[in-house]
Amino acid sequence: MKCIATGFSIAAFATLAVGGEVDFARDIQPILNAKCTECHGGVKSAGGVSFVYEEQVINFEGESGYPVVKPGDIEESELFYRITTDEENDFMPPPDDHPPLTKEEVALIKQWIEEGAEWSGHWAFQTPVKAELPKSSFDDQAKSNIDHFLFARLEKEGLEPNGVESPGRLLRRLSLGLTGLPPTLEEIKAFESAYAEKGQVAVEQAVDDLLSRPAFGERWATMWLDLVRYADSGGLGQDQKRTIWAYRDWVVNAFNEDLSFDQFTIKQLAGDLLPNPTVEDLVATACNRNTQTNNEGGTDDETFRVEAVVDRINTTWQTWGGITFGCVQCHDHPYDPIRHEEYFTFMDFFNNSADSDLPNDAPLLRVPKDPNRYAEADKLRRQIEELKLAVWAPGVALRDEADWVGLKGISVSSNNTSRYEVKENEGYDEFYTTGTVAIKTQTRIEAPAASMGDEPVTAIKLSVRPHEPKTSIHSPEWGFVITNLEAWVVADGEIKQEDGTTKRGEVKTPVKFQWSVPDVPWMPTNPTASIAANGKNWGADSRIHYERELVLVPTEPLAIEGDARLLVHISCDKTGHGSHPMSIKRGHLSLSGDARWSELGIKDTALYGTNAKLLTIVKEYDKIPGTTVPVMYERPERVARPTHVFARGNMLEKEGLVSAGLPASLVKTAPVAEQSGRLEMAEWWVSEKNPLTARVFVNRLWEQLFGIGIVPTLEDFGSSGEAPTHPELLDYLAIQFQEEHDWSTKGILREIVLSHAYQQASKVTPEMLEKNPDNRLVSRGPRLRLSAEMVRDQALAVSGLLSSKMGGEPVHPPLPAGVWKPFQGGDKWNTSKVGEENRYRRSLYTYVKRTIPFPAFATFDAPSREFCNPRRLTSNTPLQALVTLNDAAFMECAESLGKHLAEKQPGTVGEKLAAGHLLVTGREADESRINELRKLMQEVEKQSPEQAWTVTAQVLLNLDETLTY
Amino acid sequence: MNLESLLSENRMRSIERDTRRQFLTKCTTGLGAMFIGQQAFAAAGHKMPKHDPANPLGALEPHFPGKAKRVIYLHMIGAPSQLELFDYKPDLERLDGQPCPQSFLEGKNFAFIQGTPNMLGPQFPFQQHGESGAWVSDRLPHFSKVVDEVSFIKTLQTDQFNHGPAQLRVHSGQARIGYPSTGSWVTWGMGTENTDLPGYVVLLSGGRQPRVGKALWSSGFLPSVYQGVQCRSVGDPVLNVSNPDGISRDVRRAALDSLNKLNQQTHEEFGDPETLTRIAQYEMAFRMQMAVPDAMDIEDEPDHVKEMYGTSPGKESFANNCLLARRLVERGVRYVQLFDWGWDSHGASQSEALNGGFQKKCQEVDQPMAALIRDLKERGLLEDTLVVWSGEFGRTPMRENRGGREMKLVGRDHNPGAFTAWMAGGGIKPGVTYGETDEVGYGAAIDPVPLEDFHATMLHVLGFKHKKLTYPFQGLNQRLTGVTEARVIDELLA
Repeated sequence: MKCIATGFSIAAFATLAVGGEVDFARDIQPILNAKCTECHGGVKSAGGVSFVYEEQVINFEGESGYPVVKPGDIEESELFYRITTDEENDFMPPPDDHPPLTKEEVALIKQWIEEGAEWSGHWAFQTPVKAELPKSSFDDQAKSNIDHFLFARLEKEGLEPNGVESPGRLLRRLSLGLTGLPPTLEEIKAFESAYAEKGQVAVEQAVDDLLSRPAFGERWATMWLDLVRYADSGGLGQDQKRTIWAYRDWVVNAFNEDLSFDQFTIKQLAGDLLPNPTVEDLVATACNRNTQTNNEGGTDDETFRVEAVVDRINTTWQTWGGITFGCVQCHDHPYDPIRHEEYFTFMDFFNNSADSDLPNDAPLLRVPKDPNRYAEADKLRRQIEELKLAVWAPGVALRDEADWVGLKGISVSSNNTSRYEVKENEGYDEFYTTGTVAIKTQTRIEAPAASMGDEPVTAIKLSVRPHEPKTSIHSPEWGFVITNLEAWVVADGEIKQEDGTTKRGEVKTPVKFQWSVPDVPWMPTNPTASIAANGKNWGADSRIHYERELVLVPTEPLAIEGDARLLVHISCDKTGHGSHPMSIKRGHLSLSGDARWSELGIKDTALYGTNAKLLTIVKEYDKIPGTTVPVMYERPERVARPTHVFARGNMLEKEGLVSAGLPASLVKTAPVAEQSGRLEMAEWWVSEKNPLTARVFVNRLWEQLFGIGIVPTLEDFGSSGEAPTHPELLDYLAIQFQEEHDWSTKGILREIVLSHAYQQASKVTPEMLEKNPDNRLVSRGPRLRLSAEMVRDQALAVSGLLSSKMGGEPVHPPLPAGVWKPFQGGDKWNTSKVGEENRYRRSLYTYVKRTIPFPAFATFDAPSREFCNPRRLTSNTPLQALVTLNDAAFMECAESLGKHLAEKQPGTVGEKLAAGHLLVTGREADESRINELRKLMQEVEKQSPEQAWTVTAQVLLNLDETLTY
Repeated sequence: MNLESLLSENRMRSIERDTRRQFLTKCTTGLGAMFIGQQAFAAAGHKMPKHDPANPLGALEPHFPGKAKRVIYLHMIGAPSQLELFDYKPDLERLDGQPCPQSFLEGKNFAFIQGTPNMLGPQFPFQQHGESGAWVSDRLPHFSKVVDEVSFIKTLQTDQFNHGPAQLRVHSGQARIGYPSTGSWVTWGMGTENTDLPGYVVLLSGGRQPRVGKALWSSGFLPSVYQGVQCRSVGDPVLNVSNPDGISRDVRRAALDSLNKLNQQTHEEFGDPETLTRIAQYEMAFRMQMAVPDAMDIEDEPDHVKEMYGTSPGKESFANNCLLARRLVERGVRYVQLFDWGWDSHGASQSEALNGGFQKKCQEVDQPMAALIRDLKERGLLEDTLVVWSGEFGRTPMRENRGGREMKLVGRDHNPGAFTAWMAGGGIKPGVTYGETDEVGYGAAIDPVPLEDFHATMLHVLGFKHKKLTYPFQGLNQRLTGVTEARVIDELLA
């Protein structure tokens, strides 16, 4: 237990005032959070008092009638009275089940009030400040500004920095740290001699080389994909396959091209809203399409659409802000000044994306498989969008100009058990369903000529409304999609008999349509789908909020007179997951006699030409070999969804309507020019004064390299998370990242790894371990276990098997028998055979199925990517040993490495073993280690000589030094 | 290598293990120090219970002495019909074939029911059994004989009516993937008594996999050492537990001896305590290679035991798994989770119809689950082993009419409103029936039991207060019972 106690004493040290002034964030807030906010906080504010908000404390009179805190006056401050009184009934916290404040805590509170009770707010919500470089007696060892900050603290703690790491191990650390792959033997040897000659210059050159390798992007993408919960399957009920790998490749590429982090942010959160977005900008938005979907029979798409929106909110705050915003879904944040309602104002940024938990993940963007053809595809896609608008606009203009006459006297029936009733409204008859509606209902409308004007009918307008128009706006109903629409004019006339004679009777003349005008230029869930002239594909998929309108233009004006009738049959065969009817549940028809309709889109008009051009370009676009990627796509204003507060976070209980906005307490620090939409929200995250984003990101990079963040709780920068061990260093890095490096990830990483801190030896003595057990103070170099992906990639790399092929569809390397039993049998794991390149690809290209995590990765702590995973905890278990010793894929590596050493590596057995040892550890083995390996070989040779090299290679691959770096 | 020599090796290793363990504890600041260090980060600012740093699979301080020390959970995936097994409804019999009253349909979601379905009476005769007089249908003749050891909850309720989310809700308290399963909470809280075996074992009957797969035994945000380990009756009992082809146990021993020596040197040189943990873990893996196949081998059980369970050696079966569950708890495994499958009796196919596959499913589980209770009792294990049986929701008293039509086969749709679970053993008062459903078994009429109460009760018999077994994640002190209020069902406690 010793080491823990030490760990805490260091943390405690950081949180105590050292003689001088009391700092609210450092000294007071932790006390309030620990002892007061349970009852006087965001969830519960007993007596009206909340220690989360300044305005509910300073000069605030709670129900007791006294100011909670009166600055400068402890006598008048109720808080001080309550924590010090002998009056049992008044004493706080209530003594029966809560410990009182310690003497030191009381003293701090006293000092704080006396000094004026400044409410500085939580540190992470303040803009980072550039501190002066502190001095220490170790400064001559400093290689970077970073070191000065660390050294000063070491000196204060009675520690000192370690010497430098041996060059081979240093290169291995840099190589694994920056690219996720170990160096080759040649690289190690070359670096050792360069280092002997040039020292730090050689390190700089090695770092620049590593940063420029394609493997760099692959390594850092893995970190990012954990955060944005990337997977190749949909999760939840069916966990069906999802095609979204183009996004994974975008992330790899963004890191490799060093796309600045501000652009990286904006494109992922709102690339679709940028002016003239490119294919890449749209692919980037798939970031937020990695949410889970549920396609199980009978599920409610709206429920899971909202779940996805909630996940986007939480993931955005977690990833960019390091804030546990999820708390605010149900109540005010218990510790941080964020109000319940602000969750929903933030929700409004995400609530209007077109996706709605559809099984095909619509809206999808078709993108070229080959990123080199993105530009070409871009040009075509833009033309398609422009042409679609151009094809749509004249019809809409005419729809708004034309006179419409509502149909009356109609009768409505169905093809099944669904029942319609008709009600007279002013101007038109409205039909609506009664009782239970069956799936695949065809709506059959019959209208007599008497209800129509004298003019021939040139256009029919179908208006579809929700069954309950009032409530559907906030709690949308299942929608409808037209799968077929047919119409006839029925009139008395001559019917031809088989024998050639005629007789009088009802003649049904089919109506043909030349054009349709939907109320949106294309289906919002599928921006590239077209709506047929008969209305096919148009609808509200999968939910209806408002009235929807479609105009259909017959090829010939319809003369409906006398006893004649108009018949319209509308089939809506789509169901919500097999059981929810997506039929028309309320609506009416109107007619127009405007002659201009008949001209719309006919041959030789400009519109006809535009439409023809559109079809040609769509064909051309489809010819480019492509894949699809689900994207964010904003619903047109016309069908925008309103956002409501959910009472206690329950989506079924909706309260007031809200519009988009950012939490007030943060906007104070990072003002926002305009709070209009998702793009502005995205820009706000990377705006100059945003106190969180840069800190959170550099802290992540730091944690990846050192194994522990400057703020150890990567997931919580709020006041209940841990305070930074080196606040000035964190601010320095955050400012440096934004200003000096202009948001360049490679730039800031380069600066960090060139520090002495990163390059020092990781060797530790029991004494050092006691003073600095988890190396928060960085008195030695990092010594980390390889990540799940690195464990496998390294084994493939050192055994000469690793493929350097990048990107593309997910791959299926070998996995143990009996693991692959997907719920949907169609999702096959066709293992690449021995010798096939896809068997040996880097781990990040392995098919990620959420319900069947790849066993070797899961065992080494890779998350299964259901939600944003802000931090991997490293475990050390026997199951890991079973993987690296027995798994067939690792065995294949051992065989290959053994074979290489035996057959290709020159020299004596001892030299071969030494080379193997250097390759896997970056370190020359001493004689005793070589002897140990040699002894093992001899031992195995006695039992099964053909396996001597394989078994020895297994030992090399399982060395503690091999599995750590 | 034959069994005998393996066993003698096993004995030898256990002596060796003890000495090795001593050596390791003495020469380090503590095994698993880094792991514990990480726990400490997560815990800062929160009152979080901590494990002995030498052993993350040790136990936390219990909140009070629990009566149960281990759990066997039998889950019938697909949701078995309570109306054909335990919840006898004579009124439903009278209503058979009549249209369902609208009041039952309003505001309800169904997976497949369309329009107005007809009511469906119980498909099998019921009888009271034992001194407790518990109602059980004639589909479970063996189980009927042990009802006096068992307590029923007739009014368990969920808020999920789809299999995936509902199964997650039963096992992790939440309907979404990403939360620790009950087994992980329990293993985190109580550790394991046998470090040569996983503390939390999952056994599947074969056939179709649970749709959310491994998420049902995930450790969620708890460290991964607490996740369930799937053991298989076919192939490797634990993934990769067998040596690769051609690597003998002696060769492996030699390799590990070298590896250990090299790693010892590494530790002397670099001083990282995690290196010692790694040595210990490799040794533990070596022992697991022996202990797991040994525990999983039901062949060495006497014939009368095999007959009692109705096992079929070499296959994946529920009967085999029940016997394995007993063997595992006997060896100190903390939590054994069984999943059977094929209980989704919609009536849409022969295998999933009340007048089809359902009856075969009953036969498959009846004898083994009765045998499990008897066997545990005979061995004195039942008094401190909690046995739980449930599905993920109930089934409707209406007959399913997929597509709005009468279907060829007979089935029932999903019903989250009420379902039956039973518990037996450690801490549970035998022979109790708790809660009562309405006249047709559609909802709870008396004493509804939300899943939170069910979970709180399970934790209680194990010695934990559900409100106090917490772990900080995403800013909340997370617990199995979530943020809603929960009540331990005192009426069920011994």
